Amino acid sequence: MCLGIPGQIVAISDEAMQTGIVQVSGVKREANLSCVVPADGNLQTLVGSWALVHVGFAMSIIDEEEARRTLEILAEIGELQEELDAMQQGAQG
Amino acid sequence: MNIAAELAAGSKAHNTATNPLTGGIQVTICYNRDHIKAVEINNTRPFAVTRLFREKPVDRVLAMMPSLFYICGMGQLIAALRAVESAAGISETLVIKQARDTLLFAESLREQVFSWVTNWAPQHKSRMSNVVDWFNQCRKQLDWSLTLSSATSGEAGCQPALEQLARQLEEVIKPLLPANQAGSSLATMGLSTQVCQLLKACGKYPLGLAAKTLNLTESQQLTVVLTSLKAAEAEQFCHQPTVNGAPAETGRWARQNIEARGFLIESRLRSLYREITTAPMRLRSIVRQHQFSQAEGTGVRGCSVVETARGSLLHKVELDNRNHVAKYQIIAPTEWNFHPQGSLKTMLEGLYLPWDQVTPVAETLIKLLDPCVSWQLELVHA
Repeated sequence: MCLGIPGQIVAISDEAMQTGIVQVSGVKREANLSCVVPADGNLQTLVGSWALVHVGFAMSIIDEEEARRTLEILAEIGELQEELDAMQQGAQG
Repeated sequence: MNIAAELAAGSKAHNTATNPLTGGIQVTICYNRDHIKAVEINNTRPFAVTRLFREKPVDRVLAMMPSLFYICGMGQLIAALRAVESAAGISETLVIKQARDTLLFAESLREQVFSWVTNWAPQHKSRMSNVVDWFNQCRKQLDWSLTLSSATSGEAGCQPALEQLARQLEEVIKPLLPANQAGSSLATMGLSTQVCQLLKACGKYPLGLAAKTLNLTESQQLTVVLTSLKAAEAEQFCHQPTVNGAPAETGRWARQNIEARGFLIESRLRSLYREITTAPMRLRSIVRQHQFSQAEGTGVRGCSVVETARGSLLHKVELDNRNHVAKYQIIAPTEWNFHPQGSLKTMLEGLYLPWDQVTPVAETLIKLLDPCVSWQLELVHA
């Protein structure tokens, strides 16, 4: 299952190439912003926005509340997965 | 720089490091002297996600779907709605079905065009935003159909909205159509010279046969899969599904009913292009109330199968008497297509080719099988 990971657009790195820096789970990565270019074409207005990032592309702009909700669910999954991994390792050990 | 390296440089986004939360696909190829000796596929996607749904009210689980899944979020939500409705004895009206089929179709098209422009025709990258905009329009116009209900106020305006969306799609797709309608060469599909050369190079090597194609509209296959979902090892089965113990391939290859001809890399790419270029025609058939979804209305309580860009997506739910989720199971297309014994392994293992061609051939196949998560390829010289 493909989980959507919210990231915050923190800077525009190349206006011409339509790329920006997106902070995902505390890590900054370059992302292609061509799918979320605003109607007026001004990429700078995206700085501070939250986006769902997939294989290096910001695919959709989401609001902060939705991003927070998603991050909470993802954290829950992360904890669950860690517990399961620990159980599996315990069973193997 | 060779073709493969140039292509890899142009599409690094697909080959990014795996996010620990989303997991990914790790493919390791062991090469010995003059052939591929072994292929190992490790899928680290989190299989525990559906455990999160247990004991939660149905409404809450449905609300989590779009936040949780993005890439095939519409497919996941509609599969969930249909599974829950089927479990609760709610019928889907024809108009709601039409609206949902349109949304499924729109999301599939968005994913197909994304794959096309990122992997094969990067000069069309700027067209991607038109497709995303069109998908968002569909979402805005047909959002009313995404609730658990047998009748909604949006139904009255559905037909004019669908007709408008169909007209808009014609314009969105037009720039992606072949320059010369009569031509059938790779160049007329808008592929760059580099990609054409790559495909030609890949075509030199006789790949092994792909896995059999999956068809969950066949009651026999569906029954076999559902039986495995009842077993004690069901969670593991969702992670590595099979039909009677054999892996199966899903997606456009299966939809177009092309069986076991995995050696034809070019025809696999053509099948993607065909789905994109025939999109306006296929949407018109939904607008005219013909069926697009090949696999729905399974007739099994609590079960739904929807067709997404990458293949069949199955949801199975059991509700308790409080309308809470007792059990939830999902089998996603990437689990079929990147099964450790699946098409990628059977097509590549035993293949004779020079060392410097292993990466371009393997990368091409991975991109054509199109995982919905990031992937990494590692080559080991034995």
